[in-house]
Amino acid sequence: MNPYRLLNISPEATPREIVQASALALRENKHSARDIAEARKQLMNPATRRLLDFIHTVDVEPLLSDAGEGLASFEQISFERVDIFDKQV
Amino acid sequence: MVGKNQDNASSKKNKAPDLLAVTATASDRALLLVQFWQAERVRKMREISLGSDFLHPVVLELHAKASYIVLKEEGRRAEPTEVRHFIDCWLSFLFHPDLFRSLSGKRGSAEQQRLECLDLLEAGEKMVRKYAEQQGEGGEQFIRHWEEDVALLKILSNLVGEGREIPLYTPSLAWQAGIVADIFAHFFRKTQGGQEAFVDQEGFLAAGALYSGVGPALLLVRKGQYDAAKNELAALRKKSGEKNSDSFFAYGLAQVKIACGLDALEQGHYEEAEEMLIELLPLPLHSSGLEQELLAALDQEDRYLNVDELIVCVHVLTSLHKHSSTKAVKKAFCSVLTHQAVLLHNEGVLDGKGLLTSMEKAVSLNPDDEFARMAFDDAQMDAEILALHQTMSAGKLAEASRIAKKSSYQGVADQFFIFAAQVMEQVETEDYPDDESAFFMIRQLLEGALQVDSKHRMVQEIALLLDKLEDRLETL
Repeated sequence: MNPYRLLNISPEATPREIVQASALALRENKHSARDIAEARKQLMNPATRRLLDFIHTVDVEPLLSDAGEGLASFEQISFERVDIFDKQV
Repeated sequence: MVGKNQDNASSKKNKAPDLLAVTATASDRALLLVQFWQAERVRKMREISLGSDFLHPVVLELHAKASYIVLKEEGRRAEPTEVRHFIDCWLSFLFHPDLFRSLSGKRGSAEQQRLECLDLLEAGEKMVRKYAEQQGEGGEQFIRHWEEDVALLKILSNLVGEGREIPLYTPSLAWQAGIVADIFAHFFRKTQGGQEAFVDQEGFLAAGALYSGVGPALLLVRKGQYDAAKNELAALRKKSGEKNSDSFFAYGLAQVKIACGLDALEQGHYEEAEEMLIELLPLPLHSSGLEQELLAALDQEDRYLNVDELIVCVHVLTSLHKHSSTKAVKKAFCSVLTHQAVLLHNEGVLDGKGLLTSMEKAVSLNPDDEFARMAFDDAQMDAEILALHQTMSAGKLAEASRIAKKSSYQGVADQFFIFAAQVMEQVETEDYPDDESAFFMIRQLLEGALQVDSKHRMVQEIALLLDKLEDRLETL
């Protein structure tokens, strides 16, 4: 489970915000205490947090933008296309 | 070489892409993929994207991350195809030029990004190793898949340097995404210094083979799907008649044939194994590693008690030896030939003469093989003892003594005296037609015994018997 979703916080949340969100999640009783404790533990550890940030954060805008444009050429994405995406970032 | 456990590619949940994925446009699939990601329906995401969808860096990123989550959550229950999908997407994304967008240190230095990338590689490796350990013996293939692809992508990524135009995908994902021909052309045809980047020419050929026409068959071999690999070869044969003179293709083809031939051997399909392993010879240029791999597989201790396997191995090695007479080939050929000859002789299929011929050949191939030398000595001694028996039974004692004297085996001389004792017993029990012929026989025996070993204790006994017979003749 995505720990950010579980604690209802953003990837930019500070340690203090993580602790507060954990307490709130426990009070709300929407998730098990074990899951909440695990999410808090992972997010409080800088090493595991870096990995979690990487795993759970995807900027989907370039894809949505390409898909929204109809993407007639999407099915023939070429390396040139990949270059264009690079420039969009 | 290759994994033994076949991927269970036909599991229910991975059977076929979702119907929607097949019928939807690429744009629809992209939107669906994002929706599934946002709804955390990560298990269903693998079924959505098709072929060239994976060329979009965000699609690749979504698959890399979703497959990581799936593998983490599924643990040991994850399907092999899910693990392979993770390896392909994770590695292809980590080596993608767009990776920096997703790194927390994206505004940091290149060194920071490099370290972060190394951490992510380590995280992926941990995941694969954990899964592999939980699978027991069959898990080794996933570690091999990971290690081979990491090594390959590391080398190729160093080749491109700045401003690379081609995304670098693992061979499997490159085939899936349809960019394999471009990767092959870019890294193995156009890039200068490509060959030097690899430890040797063989490593370069093996890497290029994965992106060459024979790549799909090689990837099937890697998954342990040998029958499918053979079908792939048959399709290739129809298409190009295997006449492709490309050195990468030739190397890959040899790899597939060796793997499939050895699998056929393991399965007891001896004729097929022999055919596959012989038709691939001579091995292509720069394939000493492949040759070593083949030799190690043929000359294996657990084959030494299986006559059928040994026969195939001897035939293959005979053929290989005609094309390549390296020390390693001679060594393996000698070993396998010796075990085959000894086993056939023990089972009564091969007579002493046949054994001696085989052992002469084996020792000439590798005079340092102790077992071969021992078996050769035994075979030679047996042959001399047989010749000794034949001459003595024919009453040719002088010739028999010459054989015993000439022999370097104590066993042959011993046999001469054992036979001598039998003759003496016959004479003493008066089993001879007359004393005169017995006298001449024993005199010949004494002369022979003196030639063979004048200090043997039997010499004295024969002399005493001869005296006795002489006395008896004189009294007549």
